[in-house]
Formats: sequence, C-alpha cells, structure tokens
Amino acid sequence: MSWYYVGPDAKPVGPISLEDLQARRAGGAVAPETYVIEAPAGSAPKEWRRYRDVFPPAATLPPLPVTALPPTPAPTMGVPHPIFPTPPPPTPSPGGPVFTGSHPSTYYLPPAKGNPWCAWGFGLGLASLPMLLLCGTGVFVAIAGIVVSIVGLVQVSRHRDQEGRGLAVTGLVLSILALLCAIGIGIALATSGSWHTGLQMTTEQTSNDSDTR
Amino acid sequence: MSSPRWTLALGACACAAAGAYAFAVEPAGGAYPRCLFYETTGYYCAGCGATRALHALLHGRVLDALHDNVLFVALLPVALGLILKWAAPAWRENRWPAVPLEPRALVARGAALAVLAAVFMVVRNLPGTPFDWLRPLA
Repeated sequence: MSWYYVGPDAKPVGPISLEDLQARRAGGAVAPETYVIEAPAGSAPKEWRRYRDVFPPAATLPPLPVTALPPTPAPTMGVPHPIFPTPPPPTPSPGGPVFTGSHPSTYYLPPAKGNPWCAWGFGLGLASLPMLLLCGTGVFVAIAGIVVSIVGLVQVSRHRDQEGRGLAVTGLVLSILALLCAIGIGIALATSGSWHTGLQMTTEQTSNDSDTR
Repeated sequence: MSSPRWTLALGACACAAAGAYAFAVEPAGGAYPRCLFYETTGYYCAGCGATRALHALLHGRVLDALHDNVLFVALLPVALGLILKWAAPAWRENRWPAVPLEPRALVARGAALAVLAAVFMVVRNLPGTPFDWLRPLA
C-alpha cells in the first residue's frame, strides 16, 4: 500500500507509506488541499483527491474511506505504474485534459494550477525596488527575481495547465528595472568619486565636490 | 552531491562563512560593502549598521550592537528561528524544503515588515538626542 502526493513544482512525490504520508501532513509538507493518490500494488490508481477529502479531520484513521471502495481490477498489460498506469486514452475530448505524452505526470494533475515560480518571481520583483533603499540589498533580490521569473516562464510555456505568465513577466520587468537603477546609481557614485568615501550630502556640498575632504 | 541535505549544508556553510567574516574583519577598515542609499543621499537606511551590529554582537558587545541597528538585532533571532523551522524537517527527511506559498499571509507580513522598516528609517534620521541613539556608532 503506497501513496503519492503532489509536491512543490507540481510533481508527484512517492511512493511513500501511509504512515509517512501522515507524518508529512503533520510536518507541513502535505497541506489539507494537497492532492494525494493511493496506488495499491496490483491495481490501477484511483483519482487524485484532496488530502482533507481522503482523511476528513474528524474521522479516526483506521477505517479509511478509500480502502472501503471496491478494488479496481488489475490492468492486464505489464507492470502497473501508479502515475502512468495505462496507455493514454485514444481520443481525448477537445475540452478535456490533453495528453501530450511528454509529461505523463500532468495527466492526472488538477487543471489550471498557479505556478509557484511565477508567483515568487512577481514577489521578488515587487520587493526588489523598495529593497534598493535597504543598503542596496534589492540588487540581490532583483537578480533572484530575474532567475525565478525566467524559470516560471519556461515552466508555464511547457505546462499548458499552469497559470502565472503575467505574474512572471511583471516580476521580470520589475527586477530588471531595479537592477538597472542600481547599476545607474553605482556608476554615478563611482564616477563622482564618492564611492567608498562616504558622501555626506549637506547643503554646502551640493555645488561641487572640491571641498574639504 | 545535489541532494537536499547537501544543499542545506552548503547554505549553512555559507552562513557560517559570512559570520566568520563579520567576526574577523573590523568594520572601520572599509572591508564591508557600503550602503547604496547612504552613499547617495547621506541618510541612513533601515539596514545601515547591520554589519557593524553583527560584528559587535559576535564580539559580545550587545549594547553597541543595539546602538548600531536595533531593528536588525531584534529581527535576527526571529529570522534565524524561522529559517530553522523551515529547513529542519527538510534536513530530517532529506527532501527539498516546502515552498511557503500562502500569498495573503506572506503579503501581510511583508507589508508589516516594510512599514516597520520605513518608520525606523525615518526616526533614526531625525535630528536630536534620543534619535541619534538609533544611528550607527562609527
């Protein structure tokens, strides 16, 4: 009896035992909203279901609702893989889930899922500009935002069922903007000769930098 | 080599190296990166004095550290605790740490932190005696 769950970056994690799954729920790796699936040895997997639906909070654990279901007959061909058990459906309906064959793990995944890389890229881009005021640490945030946004864009372009392209583009633009601002300030400081000396901008110093130093 | 535990160990080593650098190098020599905001405007930002505070803290001079950047000293144990809480289960089970993605809570906490930093930044640049206690020492 083994279980899988949808980990971060939308990939199934497993096989793990039931105890391990519950331990991960207690540890926070598996949320109540996380999709889990049971893959009994020798039978095809059932549907992905949310953890809280499989294990209702009030119910005690031993009489599992899933195990109460009648076991599905084992597939006749080959060794069943829990994620990619059977040949793909011959003719997927136009509106339904599209099976491309290159990403079998996405076939059973819930549709239209926000890509976390895109969300994080947007968050980093948003934080990079104000964090330039924090000793210039926004530079590192901007670099991280560029990388994460690009990863998100690549993932979204590969996985049709994921959303977040707009977030990633916004994050990328904001990050590049912050980086350009920082580079401009750095060049201005370096050429004015005040870099590494400390520019005390007082009222009598604004005219020229040929004063007391 | 690219297992989660190795990566976490690498991150911990980087933090330890940064701490060793802050312990060994005197802030007066100019061996630390300088604040972009302070260099440009002459005003202290909310993070100014953080490396000096870390140096003083590692040498046991808590009062100096509080003087350098009280916000940094106050938030450092909180940040360390949160990072440990985030990374400890991943280390124990040798898996990648879960991405904390609860947008509402994240945005609320980030905004609260930003407001706190902005208030601190304004207050420490005010003229007068009680406010200059919030400015870095050297």
